[in-house]
Amino acid sequence: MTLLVRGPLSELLDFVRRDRLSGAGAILLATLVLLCLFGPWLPLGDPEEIGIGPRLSVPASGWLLGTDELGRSVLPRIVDGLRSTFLLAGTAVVLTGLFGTLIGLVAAYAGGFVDMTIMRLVDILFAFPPLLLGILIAAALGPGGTSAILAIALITLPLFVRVVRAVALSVAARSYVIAAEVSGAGFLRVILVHLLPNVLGAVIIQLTYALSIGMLVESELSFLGLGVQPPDASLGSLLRLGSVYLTIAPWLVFPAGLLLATAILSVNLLGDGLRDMIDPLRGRPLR
Amino acid sequence: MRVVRFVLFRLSVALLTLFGVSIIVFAAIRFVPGGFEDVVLGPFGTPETREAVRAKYGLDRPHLEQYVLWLGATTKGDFGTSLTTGQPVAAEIIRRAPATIQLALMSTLLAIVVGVPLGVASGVTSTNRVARAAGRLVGALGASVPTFVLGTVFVFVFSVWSLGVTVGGYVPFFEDPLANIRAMTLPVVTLSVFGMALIQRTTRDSVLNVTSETHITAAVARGERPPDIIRGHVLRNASIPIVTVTTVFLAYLLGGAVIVEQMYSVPGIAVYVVQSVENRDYLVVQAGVLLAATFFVSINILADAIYALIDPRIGGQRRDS
Amino acid sequence: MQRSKFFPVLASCLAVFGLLLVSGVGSSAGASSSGGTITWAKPDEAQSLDPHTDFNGNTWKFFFPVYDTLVTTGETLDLQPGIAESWEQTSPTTYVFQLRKNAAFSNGRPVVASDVVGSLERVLDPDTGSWWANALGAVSEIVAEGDHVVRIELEKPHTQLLSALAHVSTAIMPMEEYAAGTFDPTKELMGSGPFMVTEHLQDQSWTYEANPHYWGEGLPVADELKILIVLDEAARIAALRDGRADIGTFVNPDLPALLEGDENITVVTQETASYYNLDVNALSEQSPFTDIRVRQAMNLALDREEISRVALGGMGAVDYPLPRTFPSSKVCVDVPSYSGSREERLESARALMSEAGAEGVEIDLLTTSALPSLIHIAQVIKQQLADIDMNANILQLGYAEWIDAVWVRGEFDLNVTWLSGYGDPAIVLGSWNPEKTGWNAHYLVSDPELNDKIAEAAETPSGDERDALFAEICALIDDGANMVALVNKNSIIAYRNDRVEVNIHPAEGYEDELKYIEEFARIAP
Repeated sequence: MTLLVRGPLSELLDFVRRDRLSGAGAILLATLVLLCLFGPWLPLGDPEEIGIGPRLSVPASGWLLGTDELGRSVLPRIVDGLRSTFLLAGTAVVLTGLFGTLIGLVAAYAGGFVDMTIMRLVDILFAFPPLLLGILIAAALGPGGTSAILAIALITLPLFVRVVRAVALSVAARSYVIAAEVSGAGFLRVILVHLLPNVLGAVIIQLTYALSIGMLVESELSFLGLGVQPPDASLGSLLRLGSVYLTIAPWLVFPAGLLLATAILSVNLLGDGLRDMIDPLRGRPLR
Repeated sequence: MRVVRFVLFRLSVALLTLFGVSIIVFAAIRFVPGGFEDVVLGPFGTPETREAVRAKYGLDRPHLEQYVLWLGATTKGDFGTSLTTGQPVAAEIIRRAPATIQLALMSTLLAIVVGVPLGVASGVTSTNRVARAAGRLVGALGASVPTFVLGTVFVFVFSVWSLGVTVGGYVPFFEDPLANIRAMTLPVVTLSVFGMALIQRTTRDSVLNVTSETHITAAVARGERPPDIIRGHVLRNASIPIVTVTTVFLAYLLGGAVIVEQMYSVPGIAVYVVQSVENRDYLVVQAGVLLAATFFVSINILADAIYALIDPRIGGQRRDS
Repeated sequence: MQRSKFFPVLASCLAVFGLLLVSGVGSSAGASSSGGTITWAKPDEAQSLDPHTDFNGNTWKFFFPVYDTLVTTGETLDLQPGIAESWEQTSPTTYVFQLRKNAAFSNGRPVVASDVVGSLERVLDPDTGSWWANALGAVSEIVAEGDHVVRIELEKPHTQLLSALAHVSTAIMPMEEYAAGTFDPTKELMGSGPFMVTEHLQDQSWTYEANPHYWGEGLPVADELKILIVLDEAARIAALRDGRADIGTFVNPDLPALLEGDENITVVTQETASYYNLDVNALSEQSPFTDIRVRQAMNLALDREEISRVALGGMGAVDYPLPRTFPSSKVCVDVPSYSGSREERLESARALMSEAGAEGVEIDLLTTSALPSLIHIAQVIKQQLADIDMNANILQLGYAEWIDAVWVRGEFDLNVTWLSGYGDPAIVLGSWNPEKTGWNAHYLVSDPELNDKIAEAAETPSGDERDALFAEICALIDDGANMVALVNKNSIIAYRNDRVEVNIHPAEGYEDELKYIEEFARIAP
């Protein structure tokens, strides 16, 4: 658990130095997030203004990545779309992280009937076809950001709970936890003070995986037309609409697809690096 | 005795899970706004005609009664009748099953056949810095490209140059095997890339883990040939994570198939169930989801059985994560 | 480490795949011939099988090859013989039809007058629940006079009767078999048209074979018609390119550009009497459009020319409540929301908005994903309404949710959809009387003056007098701004000119894009 002991900045520098690929992922991810945060202030143009140029125009000076089927500039739409993808997947994964950790810890520590009940509910959620869950939620609550967030959170939750519970179980039996119990620490105190710090490493690893899965799911839901509503863009919805014009206006599709793959790749690379760092026994090469 | 108890426990948990799934899907598809009567009558429906349609199909009965009737029939293998076509749901699903089964089988096979060698290769070469980075990058990249992005690229490439495969145009295998393969190549490849990456990553990790263990070091010390070490020790020990990740991929297939079937016009079950949500063909959605959940639960049990076969020490111990 | 062991495995896997990719599609042009199969790829599956009750234009397309109607329309919406060889209007309220003597259902039984009478009575029977019954007007009786003469008596003149009878919703069914219980129109299709259904694989395909008893001499030319359901547009284009389909139907206005360079594929735009329209909710308490000034401002702010140019890529021109396909539409051209410059109209619109105190109002703009062009129109409208400080939130719903929100619960402010025009202007104009139609009564204000004029036009024979009434109706409709016509909705048809010889008519009112499909011929390779 070195991560928690040393300063985060020196740790980050060390991380980048030790693992170039993951460092590259981290830097890429940071760049993309900054791009999204400051996108509205960059001179990219209005993502929603219709008829800024001719329809389906090739890239030109006023629209650096061409225009779409309504004559909107593609470049600001892609940045907008990436922001939607990050925002929806990120929000959902934060929810998953909070609830997943809590539920996992409670299940592990309470054990018995509570554990059994929680885990059977998790099994049910796990067994439900994920995309169909998203489709049903979008139909029930109406398509849009809220539905997408809820769908992603519910899809990423089961695995999260399982992992947290498994790690917590191995900790719960340790002597210091038992000692704390004996000295009269309450349920909540044991969970928050003694268990939580010990599962944090696993939670962080799992969060990056959940984020990458969340981004995949978000883009798939948008691709099926169930994410943010037009004229708002998400990378998935841009690809859905653009794929119709693939052969005559590939600029509608390829930049968005490339950006989406790059964003998910950066998260995955970072996740791999974090895992190697936090769980250093795994992934050691043969010497 | 322990094995019997374990099997019984797993089966009862599986049944409980399916029971839960059946309740959720039944409630969810009825909870969404817009019913079958709205699809049938469209803008021209009146409260009376809508009620008449609901009565005709028994949709006006109390939900609990409908649920109990449905579950009762389902346990006897009767999935009921499609509201849209009036045909038995089972027949509709069976007609679409070959395409989806073929898609799943070929994708899984391709993912394993490409993923395992790639993983072993990137595992055993990882003393070299460049090869190590390349191995990681390939795996991460494959797991990062969404199915539909890959599909779109393929559709673009193969719409411009045919190269012998077709975009869409599914033909049943036993009708015309060649045309079938030509139509299924792109869907299969599109769907399997994620699996290749998943399996490559896991195989690579396992190889790295296993090769650092003492018995391998011992084998190296004994002077065994590297190919023999890999076959005899490494792959044998890496096979459990590979089985795990293959089940993860099979579960992923259920979702990926929706997109791939739609993109390439493969008349499979996945796209049918999604279409049935749109049509409010309740029994089809219920049967489809229950089938998918059964599949998911079964492969997990199967995976456990395979663990026990590979490594008898595991017998009954579920591997979490 | 030795790696050579693993790459051969990989290589052989790829080789297996490579071997399977054997190419070889080819064909060359030749003379047209009879027989063979014509394959048509279309995007939607049928929603039901009963032509008398189905209201969905996408579904009718499956009925057209099977069912005949008493009369039909020709190349330019002119009336043409169907099952009736000829007809005569013997008084303002009496029509007499002479049936073809050689028409027969696909089971071989000749079509007789009682089939026509029974079919039309089934449409009119309230228990059938046909949405089209209203279009036939006040029918007092339908009588069979012998085997081959049918007389229809009306309570009052109804100019659109013949056009209404040209709709597949009045399809002639084998009523003898229906009465005997051997034919169920809700479960199967059986008519006297050129083709009969032999196989239907839901969501996949329909197979039709030539009806051996069809009355048309030497028709149909092809032995078999196959309709493929291909949801995805790119896949439909691919099917046309590699010859799995001979004909494809589309809504994407950019199809000609998408197929450019394909010499073998011809793209035809077919004008239709249908148009995209906007439903404005004037009756729900939550809607700001209960205030007529806000409705009028909204109507004035629309730029139909821009909708056509941007949302539909120039395919589909400005349209009026009385569809532009009909010559009579000239009387609707100068109503306020269509005349003057956009700036002038915006000025009037802003004045109305401030008068109503509605600046900055938020509205829900609903539409459905069932038709891809709708969302493009909705987005252009959103931008146009922003010019009068009206903020639209777009909600694109799945079909069932959309029906529920708009048509069952009436929870919307604006709704982008479309109306079909059919063969007589009065049919679509009848939609503005909510008391007659019923389906829009929850958002359309019933205007007694407008209702009277619509009823009067329905009884007035075509001509200047009727056109004068149409002019007044158009003005009233524009003033009420409660259901607003936008732009023309055309059909886009692409076919393989090296594989089939087709006859695609220039204008259509009933969604029968391939009306002359029985004449389509395979070109022999």
